[in-house]
Amino acid sequence: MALALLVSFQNNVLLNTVLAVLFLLLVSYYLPVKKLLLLSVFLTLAAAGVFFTGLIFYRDNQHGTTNISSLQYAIGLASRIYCFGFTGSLFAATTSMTAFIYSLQQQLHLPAIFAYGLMAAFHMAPMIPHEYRNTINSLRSRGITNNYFSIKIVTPLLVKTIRWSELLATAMTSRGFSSDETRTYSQHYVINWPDWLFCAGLLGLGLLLTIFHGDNLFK
Amino acid sequence: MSLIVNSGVFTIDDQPICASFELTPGQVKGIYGPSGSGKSTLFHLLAGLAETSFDTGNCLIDGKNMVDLTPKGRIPFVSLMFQNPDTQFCMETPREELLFCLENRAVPVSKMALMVHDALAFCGILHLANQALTTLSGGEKQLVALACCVVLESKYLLLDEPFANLDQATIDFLLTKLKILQKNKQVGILLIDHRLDLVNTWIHEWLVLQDNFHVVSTEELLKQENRLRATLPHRSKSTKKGSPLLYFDHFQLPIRDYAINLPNYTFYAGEMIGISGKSGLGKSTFFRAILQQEKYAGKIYFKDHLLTKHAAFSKMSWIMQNPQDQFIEASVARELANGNHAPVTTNKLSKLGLLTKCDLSPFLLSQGQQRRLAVACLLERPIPILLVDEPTYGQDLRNAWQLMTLLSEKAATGTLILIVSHDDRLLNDFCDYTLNFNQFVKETANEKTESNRKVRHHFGAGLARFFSK
Amino acid sequence: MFKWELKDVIMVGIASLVFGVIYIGAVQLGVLLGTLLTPLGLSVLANEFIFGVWFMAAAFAGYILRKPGAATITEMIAALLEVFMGNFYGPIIFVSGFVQGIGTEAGFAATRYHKFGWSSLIIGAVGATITSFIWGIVRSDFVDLKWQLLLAIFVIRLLSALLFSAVAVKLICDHLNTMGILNSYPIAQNNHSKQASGV
Repeated sequence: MALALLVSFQNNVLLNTVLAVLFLLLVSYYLPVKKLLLLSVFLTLAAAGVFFTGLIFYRDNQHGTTNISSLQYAIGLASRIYCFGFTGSLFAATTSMTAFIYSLQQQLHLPAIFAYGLMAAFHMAPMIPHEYRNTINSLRSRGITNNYFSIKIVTPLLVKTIRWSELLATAMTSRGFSSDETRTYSQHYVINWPDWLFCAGLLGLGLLLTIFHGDNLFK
Repeated sequence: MSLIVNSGVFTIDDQPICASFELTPGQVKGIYGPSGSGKSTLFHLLAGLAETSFDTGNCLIDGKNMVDLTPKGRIPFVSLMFQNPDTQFCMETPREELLFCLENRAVPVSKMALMVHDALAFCGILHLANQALTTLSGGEKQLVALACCVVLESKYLLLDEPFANLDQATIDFLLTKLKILQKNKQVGILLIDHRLDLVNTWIHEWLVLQDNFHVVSTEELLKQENRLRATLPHRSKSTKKGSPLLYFDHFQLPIRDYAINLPNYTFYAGEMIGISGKSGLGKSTFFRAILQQEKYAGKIYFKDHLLTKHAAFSKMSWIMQNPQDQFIEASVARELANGNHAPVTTNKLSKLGLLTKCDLSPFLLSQGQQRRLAVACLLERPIPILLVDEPTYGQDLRNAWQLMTLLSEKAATGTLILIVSHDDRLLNDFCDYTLNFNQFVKETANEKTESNRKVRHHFGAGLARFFSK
Repeated sequence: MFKWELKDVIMVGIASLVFGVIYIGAVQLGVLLGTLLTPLGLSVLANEFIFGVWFMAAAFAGYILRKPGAATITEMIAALLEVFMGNFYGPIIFVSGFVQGIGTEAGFAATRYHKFGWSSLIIGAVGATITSFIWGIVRSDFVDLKWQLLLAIFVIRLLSALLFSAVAVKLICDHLNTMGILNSYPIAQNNHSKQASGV
């Protein structure tokens, strides 16, 4: 997180590139090729968009002309997209929802009610497309066919949301869940030394490259 | 040492109900009553899950008042199994869900693995332990729910229509396990169900929440049902055939490792036809195929035209099981008016028994009323074909009769109605004839459909993984 | 008033997912539009049209639950779920979620959680636009862009926020409320007092 903030506050192409490549390597270790390609295409689209924005709308630009500094700036913007993109994907690819929430709960003392409530909510995700299709079919059966994004479709979905949350909460309570009581944990999540090392290493790298490129800091 | 309700009074639809009964360990009793009569409310009160307690009177379980206990404190006494298998789990896999139950009980970690293993083994789902719950079938989920009840080790078990939407094999399996819990572990069981035929050899005493609370024996309840059935008006079946409407030409619908075959079949206008067959056979899938949402071999014609995806919903309406899928308006009247602002006749409302509920939100109706409203909304639409999926599930006889009457009136106007139902007797009473789908099933060695299915399954599982990652 | 119930948490979580799904649907349109606008250097604008969908979850929760912190917490929950659904911005959107949530929260806080109406939702939408705008500039280093473009970004985002997180949220919530399914939530207490006083 600190790293992300570090990236945010400077326009450091070198740092961005190094990080992007580093995380790309890590991600490619965890993700199948197909997903990786898709991700790259998506990121490239986004980066290209930002690149042209930077190129054309750079502050010092005369309309329609480009120069070195605006090009530099544009590359900076685009490299940042890659950097964020691969970092985020690495996180999503390596961390399971359950593990992350457990970890938040046990390390940062996230209240149990949030931890388990969120897990319950998250596991309803596959039901949403299913309910969406049901709703469309129901409405079509009544001869209501138009507009896919109208309030008529959102309403039944949100009605379900509220129903489900009540049913789930009842079910969890009936299995003895309550936030105020002591509970045991079948699994303990701890931050061990490789994690710290990885974190420190990244920060060190970030700082090193920042100093190396110091003139760009807080530009 | 028993679960005792002493003149517990609770209010349903402004009607006070006064219940008194006792359940001893190892005993099993059923709860019976029309939809909306307060069965679920009673369960919530017994389990201490309701926000209030009984108006007057109380419920003591082994001398303790449920209301005074915390959720954790209640576990040794009562746990519940719910009707809807999709909305009872908060973890990713059955193993995690069972661990969650044990963590709630603050069981020492060292004991957990064995307890989880035993419960899974008892319910016959050891092989599912680490599969994502979202990928399991309804029946499998219900077995996981049973496993949860097993690890909670409560003395009394409340089952709220646990057999809803399960196939016969799973129902039988679940029943055997429940009987073992009851006999060997002396668990007291209360069960809500409408289908007397499933449990009439197991349950001998029913608590009836109708015309005030009373207790009757199973034989008496069966007799009452038969008597009621005899007094209800029957439909006069149509004698002359309408014009041909829906024609199946070499229709073959692949389902898992078999297919439903209709080589050459015609349905006629104005017919009311029941469709029966084992649960999980693919009857709902058949409906989806007619609506062009499912791949099949062969052709379906509407009159002389090949049925297309585009035209399907302009020729047909599909009444699904859950009426809550389709309500979009803030009041019953507007829901019935269905977008066009024509005033709803009081005649129609009173026929549905909803006259006094005209301005109420559809969601504040009882389950039976919701179902009637949902069906009535769809009947408004002038349409040649109606596909109806389990319209009477969870309805008592009187409500079910009313729904079937509504449908048969629609058929009399020349609409073809196909009804999927498990209730063969009701189908017999109303339909021109009943198609038993068991006879249309053929084992297939069709590799193409098989591989299609695999791809679909793979894709579906991938999607589920993606979401539940 | 501060205490969260289990069903609140789950409701907020599922609602975030539902809005997330809507957002993803909208993003597909956004990507298409963005690609078309890329050669003009205007692709950053495409996303701004649907930016308001981002704030919906927070406004929805704040408006229904009516307790301090609801909007902020919800937006962070939405961000968390978003990360695990594979949003490629990754952990950094926690910060985005927090920043946007605070903005929406401002609307409810402005009346010290006494009044919940058009004004709070509109202030919330404006607040979220401002905070997210500042954060966006920092995160994406847009400081050096022409002010005209920045202004365009701001205005479009503001309009989008007003449309989605104020107008749409208010209409949807009030509709759900009259349907009676929110009866166990604070939003419904208003109707009861209204009915009691004969309004």
